[in-house]
Amino acid sequence: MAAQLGRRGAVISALLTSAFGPAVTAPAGAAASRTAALGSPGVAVGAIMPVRAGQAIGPRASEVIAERTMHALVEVLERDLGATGVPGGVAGIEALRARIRQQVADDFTVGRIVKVDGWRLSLTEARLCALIACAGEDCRLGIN
Amino acid sequence: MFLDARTIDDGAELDADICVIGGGAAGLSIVDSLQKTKLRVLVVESGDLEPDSDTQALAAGTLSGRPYFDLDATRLRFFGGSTNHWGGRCVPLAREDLAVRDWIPHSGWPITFAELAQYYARAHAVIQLGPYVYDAVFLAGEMGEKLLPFHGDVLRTVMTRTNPLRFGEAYRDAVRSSDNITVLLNANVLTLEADGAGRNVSRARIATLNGKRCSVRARSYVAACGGIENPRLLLLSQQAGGQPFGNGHDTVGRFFMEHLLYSGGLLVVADDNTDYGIYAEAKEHDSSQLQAMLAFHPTFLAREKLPNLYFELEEQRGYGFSDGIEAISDILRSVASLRWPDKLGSRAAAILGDVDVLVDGTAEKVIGKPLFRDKPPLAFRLRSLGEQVPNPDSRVTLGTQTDRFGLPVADLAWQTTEQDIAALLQSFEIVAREAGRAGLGRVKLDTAEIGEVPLPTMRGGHHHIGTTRMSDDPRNGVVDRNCRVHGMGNLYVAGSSVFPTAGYGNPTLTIVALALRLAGHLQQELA
Repeated sequence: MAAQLGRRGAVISALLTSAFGPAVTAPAGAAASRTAALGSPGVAVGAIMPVRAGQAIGPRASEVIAERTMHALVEVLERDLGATGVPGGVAGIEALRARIRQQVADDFTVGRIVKVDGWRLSLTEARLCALIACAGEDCRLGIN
Repeated sequence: MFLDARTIDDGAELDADICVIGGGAAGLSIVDSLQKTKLRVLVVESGDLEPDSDTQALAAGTLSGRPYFDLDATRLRFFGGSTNHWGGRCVPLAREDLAVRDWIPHSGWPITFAELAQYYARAHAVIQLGPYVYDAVFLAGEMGEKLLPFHGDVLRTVMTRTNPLRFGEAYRDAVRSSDNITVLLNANVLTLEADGAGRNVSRARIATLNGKRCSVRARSYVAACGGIENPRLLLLSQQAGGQPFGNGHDTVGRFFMEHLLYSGGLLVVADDNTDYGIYAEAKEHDSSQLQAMLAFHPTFLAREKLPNLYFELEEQRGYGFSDGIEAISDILRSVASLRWPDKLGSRAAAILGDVDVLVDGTAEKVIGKPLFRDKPPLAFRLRSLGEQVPNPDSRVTLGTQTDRFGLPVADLAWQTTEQDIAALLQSFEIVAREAGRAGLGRVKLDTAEIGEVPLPTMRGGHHHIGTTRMSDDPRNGVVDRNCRVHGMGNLYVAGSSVFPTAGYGNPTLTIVALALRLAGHLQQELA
């Protein structure tokens, strides 16, 4: 299971890493251990962490989404975004970006909307925020 | 010409073809239409040319429903009426507003939209609103203004025009020089008296605050004194047998409606490089002030079974506007001191898009500057002007207190229904959904009040609608399609009290249009 989670987490993490550019300093302590669980040590979390939206919204978003573990979260994001089929490099970045936007639009169209402090957010963006928050110090999800 | 009722002989009896009670938007629109005709029109105005507190106090009443404005503050009682303090915003009703809508109880006007709309262009001239053009896309193009990019059949932009014309000032000279128009100032109509058969008004009894009494005899009478005083006058005026005028089926004063003003959400716009200023403030064009509002497509309203409404968008730039941003600032505080590479930040923003404006606001609070942007995000406060469902239990009656003349004051029991509140909240949710779907931005709704019905901060717009509603069936209304009081041969009502439903529009343009229509009817009938 851990290996599976690591592979899937690495897919998303690597894509985000590619999208965001060079990594920044990796977190320490608890965040570092979660990074390891995601399977892309240091680099992935360092890349994800600068997404301040996720840092701000993620902890609250974690409370309203159904997934209670990072494993479940990664799995559902990977499924919905088709992340495993995304190519690498610049083309992959654009493809992932387009898929996220489309998925967010689809969420609003069909009513997959969650309420976070009164904000009406798409389920996908709430999940992404929750994932990003879990790379930082305020993760409210379990690992497995 | 003007006459002062305080200076005429006590007990005098004045004579006219048409007696118009009230010199506000409705009454003076009739004047506008009938000046220079052969008809002698006498306007009976409670106030003078300028306001005075004693006369204004005659508008006082009591409240027994949900909280409302003091009745002596929500209407003005001097020449020009409430146009002496109105905001001047105008928009015609939508065609669908007049239709029978099976999801809106008691909906449906007895006249068609075409019958009403033919008077809108003339109403424009009366209010000095410029050309009768409301096509938002066309006007925005002419003005070089950008409209919010909503597509599909849910949300649309509607244009409003604003000219806060003070009717009293605008018509003062015309009245002074008129041969056939007389305005009797400082004259308070106490009651209307019926003839022996009780089928016609025989005279209007008038009193002044200095103790004079007089009366007006006319061939026709028009009550044009607002949505609270119109029903009060009918209830005070009794036919033979003690039945108030037009109240054979206990309809007078019922169905009081307001427009539901609720500031319930914040729209943060992702693309803050585009100027959407036409929503934020009225802009000069075509001799009037134009401002865009957000509304629903009629087909969508029918599909979702919603009453009509529009949203006013109040622009808010800066970071202090959002409770949500305040709430997340604590969370961010711990990370805001870290330095993020600019390039990294902007690329992250590209992925998550407009959500990042939420965070930027907090960043500015904490570290003194936005992280992603060089200017504050663009946001609009969403404020509804919502149609209320007609409700017979929302009503004006005669209260237990009396005025200076010993007559019962009006009591207003404004009520809202669960359908009103649910529809209003649903409308905000739909805007939130559509903003996300269109990639326009995100909406934060003021959730604190949701679940509290009725919404404590919701209020009305000083629009008094429906209390002498129009219907071909006297069981469902007070006046017929010609605004004649059911059961009465020569008594008419003008003003928004005759609207069977409120629609989404500010009422004055339609008040004026219907008054012009009534003037035409009277001219034909009395010719």
